[in-house]
Amino acid sequence: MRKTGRHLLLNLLLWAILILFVFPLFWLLLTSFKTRADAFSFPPKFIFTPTYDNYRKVLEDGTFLHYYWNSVKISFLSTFFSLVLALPAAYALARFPMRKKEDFAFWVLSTRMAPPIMVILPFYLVFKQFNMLDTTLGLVLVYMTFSLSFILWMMRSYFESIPVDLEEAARIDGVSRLNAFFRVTIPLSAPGIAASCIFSFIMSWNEFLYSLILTGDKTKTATVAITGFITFEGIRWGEVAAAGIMIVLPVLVFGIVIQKYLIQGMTMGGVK
Amino acid sequence: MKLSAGRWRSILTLETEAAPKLLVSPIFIFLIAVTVFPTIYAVVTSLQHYLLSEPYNKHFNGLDNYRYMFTDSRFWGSLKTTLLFMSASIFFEMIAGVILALLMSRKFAGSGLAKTIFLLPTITTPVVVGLIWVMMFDPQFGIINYILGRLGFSAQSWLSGTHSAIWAVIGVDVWEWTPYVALVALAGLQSLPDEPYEAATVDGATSLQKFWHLTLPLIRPYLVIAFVFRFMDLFRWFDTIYVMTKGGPGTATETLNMFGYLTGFNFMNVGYAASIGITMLLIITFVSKFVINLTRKG
Repeated sequence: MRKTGRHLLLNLLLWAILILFVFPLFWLLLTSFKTRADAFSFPPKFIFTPTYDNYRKVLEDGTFLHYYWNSVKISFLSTFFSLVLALPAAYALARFPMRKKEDFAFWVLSTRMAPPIMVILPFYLVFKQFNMLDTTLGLVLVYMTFSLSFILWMMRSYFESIPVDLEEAARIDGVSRLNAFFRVTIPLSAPGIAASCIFSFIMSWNEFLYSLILTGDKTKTATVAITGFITFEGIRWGEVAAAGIMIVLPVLVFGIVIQKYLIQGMTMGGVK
Repeated sequence: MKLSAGRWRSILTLETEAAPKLLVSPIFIFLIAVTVFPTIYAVVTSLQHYLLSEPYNKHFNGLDNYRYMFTDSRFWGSLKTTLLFMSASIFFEMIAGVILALLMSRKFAGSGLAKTIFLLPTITTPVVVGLIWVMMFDPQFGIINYILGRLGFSAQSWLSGTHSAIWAVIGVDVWEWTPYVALVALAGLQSLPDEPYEAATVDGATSLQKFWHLTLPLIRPYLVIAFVFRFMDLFRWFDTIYVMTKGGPGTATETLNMFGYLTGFNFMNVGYAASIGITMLLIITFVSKFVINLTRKG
């Protein structure tokens, strides 16, 4: 009896903490449906008549939507090209004995540690010289520097978890290694590939600093565009919140879809 | 040298000794191009007097940028801010994370939902996280001051106070990343074997003893992973600080990364900014070697 009482109390505590953690996002959602007057009321309002005005205003002139589309495009392209480069390498690391294999893997990982300011300055200066500032290609190249290492590490550990016997069996049946890779290994690792792609997509989608420095009015991404709602007259909270919900929504949906792999991804395969 | 058709086929089907090299070389070449080259470029830039506002006056000046850095109180200030930001964030995130993981590792209704909810702060776009908290910290209309007011505390302008701003930024980081530590630690807790606990119970160990002598050592590898990743990310953190304070008020929340950004892209001094970047690279390389050695020994 005493034990169930304590159990109940701990559960209550846990749920109270969870509510605390989810509250800011909930608050963002509420604010996105508030009129200007409701957003700036004190005490803050929990109950109000919802309005879609903020979303209408954000979408109205199409500029934010344009930047939103930039985010989609750049995240998709950087993920795609990272996959093309990283998948074969991940397979090689998982399947073949290689000299200095671990050194190579750690070198790839260490690209994640490099201070952003040191990474971005040379890119900025070189892009400036070659007129590559504010281009999709430029930003995709830079985003690949971090998405590559994620995909490589995640897919390596995924390939390692697939028994090598299946490929061997296919090869004994006369299928080449390349075909075995495409017909056996790839289909078997589809969930892992999907998860690491979504993960890389989220990373690119969430990125801010590189986009802030390397893009202008043409290829700005949504994360940079949202800061544009902070104007000299003050912050237009309703619109910021609506734009914020639009940015966060795909990330949350995708994140929940790959929930099982998320922690694995965020530790580069360190936690399974 | 011309390759025979058979040789070509063996390469294209990967039925060759060189297969691993073939598979790895594209990413290898790409990464050399986008990491080694920029690093060299940054080193060269750091040895120059180079202002974007007067590009005609660009010239080598040896170690002048580094020499200036050592006397620049703003550099030392940002180093101190970085240390405070990192150590306070990691400290609270690790402790709160382990406690939350312990709470979540028990059987309870809705544990799946709880895990999902917990993921949300961690994957939410950091810029949006910053904006949410700017809104909540608002001195006039913000909900934080409202709640504190109801509890009998006086209103604060959190983000514009010289002392409060850094703690506000740390608080946001703790909100955003404690769940991450908790979920990694939880993965550790769920991998624990039963036997040692049964043995300990037979020996009459208390829960606290079990936690200290069994659980903690057993989940240590997981905690090390969480620590290392938090450490790496905090050192390069930018987004929420930029949105919330841009390093201000004054230089109260100016971390090294922010200092480098402002130097390069606000003050246009790319030579000096490059030397800050290189210094950060040296610091993180040195510290991570040290941390890795420490974790290997222990």
